[in-house]
Amino acid sequence: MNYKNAKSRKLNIQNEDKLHSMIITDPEEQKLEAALLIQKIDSVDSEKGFKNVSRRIQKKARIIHRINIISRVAAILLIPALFLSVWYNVINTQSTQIETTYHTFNCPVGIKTQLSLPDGSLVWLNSGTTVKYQLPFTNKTRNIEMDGEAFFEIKKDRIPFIVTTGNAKVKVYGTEFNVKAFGRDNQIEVALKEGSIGFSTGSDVTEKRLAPNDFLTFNKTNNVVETINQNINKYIAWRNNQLVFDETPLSEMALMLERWYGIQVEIKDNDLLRYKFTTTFENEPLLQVIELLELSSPIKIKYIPTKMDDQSNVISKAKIVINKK
Amino acid sequence: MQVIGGIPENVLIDRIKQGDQTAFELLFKFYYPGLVVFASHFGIDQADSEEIVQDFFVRIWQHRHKINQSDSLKAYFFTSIKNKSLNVLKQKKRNDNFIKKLIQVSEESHSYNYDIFIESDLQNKIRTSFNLIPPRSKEVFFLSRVTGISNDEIAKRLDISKRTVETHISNALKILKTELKEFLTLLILIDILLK
Repeated sequence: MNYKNAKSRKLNIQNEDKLHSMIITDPEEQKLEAALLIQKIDSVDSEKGFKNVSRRIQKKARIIHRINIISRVAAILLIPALFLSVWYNVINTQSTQIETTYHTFNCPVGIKTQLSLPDGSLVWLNSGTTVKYQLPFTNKTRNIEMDGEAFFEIKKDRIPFIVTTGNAKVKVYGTEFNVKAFGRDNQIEVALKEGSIGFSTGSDVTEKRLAPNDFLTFNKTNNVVETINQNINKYIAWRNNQLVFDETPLSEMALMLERWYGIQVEIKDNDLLRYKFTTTFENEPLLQVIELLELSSPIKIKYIPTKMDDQSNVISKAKIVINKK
Repeated sequence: MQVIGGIPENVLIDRIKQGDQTAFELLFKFYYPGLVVFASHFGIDQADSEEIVQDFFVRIWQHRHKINQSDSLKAYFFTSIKNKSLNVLKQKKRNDNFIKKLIQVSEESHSYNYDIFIESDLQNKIRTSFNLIPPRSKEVFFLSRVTGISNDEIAKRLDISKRTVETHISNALKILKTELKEFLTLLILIDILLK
């Protein structure tokens, strides 16, 4: 066997003669050298690679988003044209009513999206959130219905902007704020970052005005509205991909993890419910979060990956089970 | 069915189709290092290889709805990277004859075993046998085969005789050969010479 030097057998791309010599090298030795390959594989930096890929995916998503805005603008421009043609057609019948259509936007569990409304307002949707608005959007009022959690950056306009969730309403006067109102939650939360908004519910016509940094909760069972003025950053951090726990009880943390990662969380030991967590995760994958939580608290977390039920062919959600250490 | 981090690949793909980024990360981290090294076999430098593979994964995510479950993803990934690598070579206006030959070589060796590039029994077996080589022999073997310096140079660097260098290398080869005997037929033409 010839081990003299590997250098001469390394490919020099400019030199095609060497290609030939490369092909006919002793096959036995080539096979053995496969072992060296593994060292090369181990030296590849996957973390860095994945960061690059994530960044490029997000950049592309923004471009696609821009195209979406253009198509929406085009759709809005089309409405007057449609209106005109309808008007021409029915000029003799005098019926000039146009029908409003509804746009529904659904952000699936496990991901977050940004959405731009026809009036230029921006909405960030947290995972598992649905919003619905009518077109034409800027009619007499700008109405948007939602279920879930969203952060709004509203474009100032004389036309009032109203967020409806269930029978509660948030009336907006040009501002930035967060609404958390999942249908199955018992409470609605509104956090105001800038400007001014008014909150009202079906049962109570009077409007509660909020000032910046006000955090309002509305209890759906007893209809009690409470407001505190505090630092509201933790309520809106999700928009920047931050998962913030601030003296958050385990029960609430479990709910947050479920929505954030689209998983199921089971708490095995009721003793654990009294634990509170304070920490911030930014862009961390689930398995990393589990690892860090285990390190920093007396809990043990078991990850059960997605499973397929052979009989029903139904894919179950991934699940984590939280237990005492 | 390939299993990645304890999750069957088809389940992972289903989750990716639903927009699950964690699942995508698992898939990425499983294939990425192997694909990068694989691309570098076509005479492409490390940075370009990484670029090719990253670009490929960005597309995978963008077109995740179109991933065909019935296909073998492993074969699809490696074939795609091979084609992309050859395209990159073409764009760099390499001598046409060279590329033709390269394509010919890579197509003739049908038995490319991709398993060697990813976490698999084959890779584990190679890892284990590699660890059986005594550290000093491993070091010499590595200097000779990966760094590609001459035996004389190694002898000088490590302050040992040339004879000892040769003994270390043959020692390493002997261990690998015995340990990998049953796998030898699988390890067909891994042209790591195309570094």
